[in-house]
Amino acid sequence: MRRHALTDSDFTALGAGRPSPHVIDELRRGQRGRNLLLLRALAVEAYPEIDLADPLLGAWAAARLRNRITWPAPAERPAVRFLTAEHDKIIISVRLDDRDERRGLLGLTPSPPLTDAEADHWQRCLSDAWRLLVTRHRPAAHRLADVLTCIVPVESDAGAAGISATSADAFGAVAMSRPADPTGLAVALLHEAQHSLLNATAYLFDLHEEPRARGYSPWRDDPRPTSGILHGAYAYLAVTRFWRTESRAGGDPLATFEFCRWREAVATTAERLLATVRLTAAGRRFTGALLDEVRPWLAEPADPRITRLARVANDDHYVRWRLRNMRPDVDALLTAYRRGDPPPPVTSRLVTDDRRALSHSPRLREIHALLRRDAPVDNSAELSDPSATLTPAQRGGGGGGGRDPRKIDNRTVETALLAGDNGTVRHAYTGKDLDLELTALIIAGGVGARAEEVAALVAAGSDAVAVVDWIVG
Amino acid sequence: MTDQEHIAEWRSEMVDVSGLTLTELTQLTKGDESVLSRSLRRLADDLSDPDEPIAGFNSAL
Repeated sequence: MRRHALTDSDFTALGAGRPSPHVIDELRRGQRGRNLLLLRALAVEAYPEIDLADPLLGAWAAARLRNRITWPAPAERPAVRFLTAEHDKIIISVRLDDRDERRGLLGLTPSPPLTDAEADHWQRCLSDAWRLLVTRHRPAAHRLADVLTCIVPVESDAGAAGISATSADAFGAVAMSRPADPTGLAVALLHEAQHSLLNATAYLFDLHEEPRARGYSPWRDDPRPTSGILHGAYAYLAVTRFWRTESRAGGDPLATFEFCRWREAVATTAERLLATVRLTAAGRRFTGALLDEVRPWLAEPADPRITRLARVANDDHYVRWRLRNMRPDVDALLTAYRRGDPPPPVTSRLVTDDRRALSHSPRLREIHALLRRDAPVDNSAELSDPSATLTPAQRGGGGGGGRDPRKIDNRTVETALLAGDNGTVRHAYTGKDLDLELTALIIAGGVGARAEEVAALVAAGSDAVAVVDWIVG
Repeated sequence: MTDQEHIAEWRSEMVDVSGLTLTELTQLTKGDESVLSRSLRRLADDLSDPDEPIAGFNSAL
């Protein structure tokens, strides 16, 4: 009996996020075989309208075997909707599954059955997304059509503009909240298809040897296992490629920002995986190919203002992640600080927190708003009159005519950070808003890797500017 | 295995059973479980200790 195999060139193309159709076929065969083995393990000898390629079959069988559910295979498949789009003679057709009881096994809460108007919205978004993909991202469109077979509409998350997920047990299926617009749908589908590809790859090949290790991922606020970190890098490789093309096509500052932000995040994540994690030989080859794909993009020129904002956004996430998840040895730090000794080497421990957390940042919203206005981050007016960018209400127009000093201070520090004026961040620091001001000070001081140490000393009553100076040395 | 080794082909532990029917697979495993033992063992490991099955995405723009 034949073992699954990929040539080295096919394997590296897969790692680079550019698998050929026959590689996707091989992965799909692996998933069909997996579903068959799952049914065999369940001692199922008959299954209604058996379709081994059905992602919800895999989700159901795996859930049964893990004893997460006890209900049997559905007696019959409900009638489901299909979404179909065609552009330039290239077709995508997927099941929009809003009725099958197994659709709740993909990890997010499924929506109730859609109304016709809601289904029409999905169809319009997919048609427009497909036109965009075929027109400007044709290789990615072909891969998406090869991988994606099922979309399960899910409830929105109040804390996220859009949410979607892919189950390792359901190759080709995506659980996704109502798309806001065609571009959002296009990039989310590309993202999720990468998860399916990597899940199918990891089924055939061990990629790492430390399933328990957890660490930093630029895409989540919680510590992630190695597999999750690799998933993030692989999914965002496709996202980065999408925004690279969009940036070149239209010069949209937001597209350029996304490209700059994610190229750096994907590259540094792949480098960190290769340098610090025990990957298997296949894992090193796969991750190396991923890095080789994104690395040349780092040298591509982009507006320096947008490059800076992208770096601030990435630094902001890293600092927030450390503040949320890392705890230092405060006593050793405090002793050295009070004595005036140099900062001691401190090993922070990871706080165990398995709650899933998506990334939220008021600073990121600020950057997005800036780029939407397409205004240069020239803060000279704002720095001379910090209320310049405030709304009338924020300027106190509706109250007693006085300014809100807290907001003005935040605005000064924030605007300076986004303008790359690190001196003003330091001089204007008041400490009244620890969330924005302290993270700004840490980023401007270049001490993000010791963010939790700064925060611990500040929480113990130390002056934040002096602490940052002490750490910088 | 080192990175320096030239690897012409990456071979999986998993055998390709995708062309079989459920009945054929059942007959095969009844006759000789060892044919598929590695695949079944790996699948069992996969199920008992799955890597995070869900990946999320916040498409906030």
